[in-house]
Amino acid sequence: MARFVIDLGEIKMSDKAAERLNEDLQKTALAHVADLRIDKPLAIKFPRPFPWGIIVRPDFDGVLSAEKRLVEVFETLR
Amino acid sequence: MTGLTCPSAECAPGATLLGVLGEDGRIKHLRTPMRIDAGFIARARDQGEPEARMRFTAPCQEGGCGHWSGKACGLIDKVMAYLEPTLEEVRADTLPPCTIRATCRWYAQRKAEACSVCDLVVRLPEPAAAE
Repeated sequence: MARFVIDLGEIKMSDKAAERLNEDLQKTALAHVADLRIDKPLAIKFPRPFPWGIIVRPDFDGVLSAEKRLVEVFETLR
Repeated sequence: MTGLTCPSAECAPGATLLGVLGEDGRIKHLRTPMRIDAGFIARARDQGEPEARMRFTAPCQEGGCGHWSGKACGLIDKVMAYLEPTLEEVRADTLPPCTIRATCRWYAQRKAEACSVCDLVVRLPEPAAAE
């Protein structure tokens, strides 16, 4: 877990300056998050009933069995 | 508009980063809500489609969204229906920490059961990519 706290102690700083610093810190953190990528490929299935949303599952067999059951469920819904 | 927050919004300037996909296939929620800008989006796109590995939040657009069923968000209902056969296997043991639960559209509709599967959902912006 990555948690960072920067304690500037008793340094006096206006609210505006503190806000600017906070924005800069968040921007830096976001830049690092933006660079994150998953090296291990995940099995990703895009079920037909979901034109937009998708479900990500780490194992492909699980996806297939879940989809089989999904088809059964959707057939009962029709 | 009800002032609720969409937990599966587009990666667009002004949206807030909700979480990042972990290697176990589940979204890891951030503890600090951080608003994204064009610079973040450009940088994130260098690593691939941001929505395929991150989740973003924005105000719920209700009727302005393709998922709106007329009175509710259809996406979380579809997700719950999709997962229903395997719900016991895939649901999170504890609710993930969440920066938007108080105003979350999905929580407002399905309460804790939405939270228990929320981290399994990743959004992909192009429907064509779903085939």
